[in-house]
Amino acid sequence: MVRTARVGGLVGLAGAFGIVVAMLAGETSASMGVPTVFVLVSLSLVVGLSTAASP
Amino acid sequence: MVAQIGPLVQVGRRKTALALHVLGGIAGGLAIGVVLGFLGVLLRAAIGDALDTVFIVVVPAALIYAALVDLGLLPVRSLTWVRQTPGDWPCSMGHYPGIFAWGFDLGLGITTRIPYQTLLVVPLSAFLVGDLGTAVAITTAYGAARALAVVAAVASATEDYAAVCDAISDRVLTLKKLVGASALVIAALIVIS
Repeated sequence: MVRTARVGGLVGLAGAFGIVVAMLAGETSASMGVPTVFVLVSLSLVVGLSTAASP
Repeated sequence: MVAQIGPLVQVGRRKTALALHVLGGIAGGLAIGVVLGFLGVLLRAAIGDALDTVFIVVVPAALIYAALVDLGLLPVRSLTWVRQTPGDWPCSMGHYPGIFAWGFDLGLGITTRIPYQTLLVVPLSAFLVGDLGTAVAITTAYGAARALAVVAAVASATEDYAAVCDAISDRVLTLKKLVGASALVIAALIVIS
């Protein structure tokens, strides 16, 4: 249970990080809005979180 | 990586080592983001707003291609290289610098083996977005997420890191399909947004 909570917390932390980064970058981006930046950051998070075992 | 970094964090301070790995991942993502973002800004200066059209066409197309390969629906040879992050860095650089360098190398995303074709779309989108801040956001999120995934795997293991690696390896095909399906959804979202 503790391990699951810890892993869930890390994943949640990564998600929160992505949302904040997307909002900050999206507001400063002239051509891309927050939604597009959020989608791209989400892609990075999904791929990044899925590659733990790869050297 | 889990099998390598796992035993090493038992040698020094566990939290310091894992924090350095995450910092390395963030630094690697940030570094490649600055380079690709700068190149993208140069490309935008050269072709102007036409870059937005290029982005809307090329990135979803690349995502669909990568998704079909990752889902196993397109039987073509995957684009990848054999380099892995050197296992002897903690010996040659020192314990903590080596762990940081591992994170940095993996955070770059494109200097080591490419496990999913969808990964290639991350630097491609960072380049074609034509904006430095957005490029840094995209690649830094990747670097941080990849390092956090290692931290999560190490944190969830007791001391049997090889077993954790085996468990992850058993799920590689499932993860690959998950990433492929996510790529399809994201391609659709980019076109819609």
